Amino acid sequence: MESRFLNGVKKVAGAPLRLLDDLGRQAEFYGKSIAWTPKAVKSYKGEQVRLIAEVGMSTGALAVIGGSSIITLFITLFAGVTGGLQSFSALKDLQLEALGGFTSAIINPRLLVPIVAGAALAATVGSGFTAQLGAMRVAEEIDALEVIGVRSLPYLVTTRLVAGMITIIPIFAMAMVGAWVGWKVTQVNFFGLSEGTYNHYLDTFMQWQDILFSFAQALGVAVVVILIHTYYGYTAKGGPAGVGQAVGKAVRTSLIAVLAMELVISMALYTNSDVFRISG
Amino acid sequence: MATPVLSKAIKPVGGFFAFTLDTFVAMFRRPFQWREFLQQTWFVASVSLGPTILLGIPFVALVTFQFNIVLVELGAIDLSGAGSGFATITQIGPVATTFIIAGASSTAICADIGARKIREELDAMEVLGIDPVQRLVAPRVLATALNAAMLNGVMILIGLAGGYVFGVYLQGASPGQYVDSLDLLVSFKDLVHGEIRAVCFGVVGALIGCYRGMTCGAGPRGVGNAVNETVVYTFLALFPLNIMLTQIPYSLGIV
Repeated sequence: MESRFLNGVKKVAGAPLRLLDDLGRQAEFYGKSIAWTPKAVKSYKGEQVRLIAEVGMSTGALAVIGGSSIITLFITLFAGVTGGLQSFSALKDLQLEALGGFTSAIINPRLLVPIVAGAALAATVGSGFTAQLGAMRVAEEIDALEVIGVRSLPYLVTTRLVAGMITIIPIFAMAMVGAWVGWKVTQVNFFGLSEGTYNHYLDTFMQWQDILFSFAQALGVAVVVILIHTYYGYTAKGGPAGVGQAVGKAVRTSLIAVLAMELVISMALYTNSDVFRISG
Repeated sequence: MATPVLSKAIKPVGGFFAFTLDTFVAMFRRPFQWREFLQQTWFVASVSLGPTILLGIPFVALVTFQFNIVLVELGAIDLSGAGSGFATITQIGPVATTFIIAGASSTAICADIGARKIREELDAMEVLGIDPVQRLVAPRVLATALNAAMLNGVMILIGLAGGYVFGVYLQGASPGQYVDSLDLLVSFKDLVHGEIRAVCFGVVGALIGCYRGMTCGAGPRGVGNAVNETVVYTFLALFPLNIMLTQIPYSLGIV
């Protein structure tokens, strides 16, 4: 009884320390994987090219429905339609339907695409990496790599990081197109807003800067997502069931990290933006 | 070449619809698994509540922050309550619930069911004459639906409180005006509309998680891929569902 009580106390009191331990281990992992970049790019060119193709196209059942780029396009397309119809119905209440293009120009690059594409990236590319690396870890393939003298961190993790950084740009561009197409089709073709009016307000309030900023957000998100997901895959344990749990844990963590990252980046970039002039 | 790819893409869809029907039939079959239902409600809440709170705060802060920049430009920062109320109740609540259902609840359900599948527990249940759909799936679907409704409530609460903190303390809206303008663009009907959508998302998310878990392949790669596909399919299903459920009541003139 006594020892059970003591164990309980230990468990509760040790929780913050274990959390700190885990954070330290994660930081070490992230630092090392980033530091290996030159080596990975130089030594593992073949693997690098293969991974770039894999990130864009996915493997297995997801490749059948188009791969991560097409999936992201579809998700942001649907999100754009949602945004288009919700904002249209709100503007209609205020009798300001004509400003549909304005909502599209502001909301898409600043909010909708970074958030939704970030989540889609975590779901498709990120959790695929966790599943792969987790399976390799559980099947002791990673240990085998180390035994034959290949450093597993640059070979498996850093190459994936670089592949993600490269492929996020076209994937994100497709996501952006998807959201705009969805928004415009909804407001112009479904609700009968005049196309000229829509385009006029879109052009007036569209800022090139916003689009560049959102690409900056996308790069930040790609780094965070891939590092978190590879960490959980690389350190998976507990057999096949453990791999499933690792994927779930990685998705939960990375969704939170994506949003936090975007908040930080957009506060840094937009706080003093006075490029945006409505009142002259 | 075309036929195998096509059947590979279509067969699971048909399987999923059959599974959904089975589940709805099993939900009304007695005895209802109350113990499993309560345990699963607690399980889903325990994996989803933390992410909801941690995801909700930056989500809401991001939206309020951007919205208020526009309002400051217009000189209408006192309307930030209206924007916050509208955005939170109509879309942010349900969409963030989508994220949580896809990212947290259905992945956890899929990992759990997938582990049972590869340990052949599901086969063992069937051998004993127990229907896994009735015993495992139906309680999980109902538990996730209940959780989705409550998570949407949590998300709206975070949204309104976060909007207040951001608007009032950081971007200079007046507190009284914020509270006063909250219900300018939304009403009770919009809240009910959002809750109904959240429940539907919960049902669909749990169904996808259970289905993919029960059909997962052997070995660690099988389970990992199953969970990965669960997230993707849930996102792919919930966004179009959100469009339909948003628009249909508007078209019918209910909301």
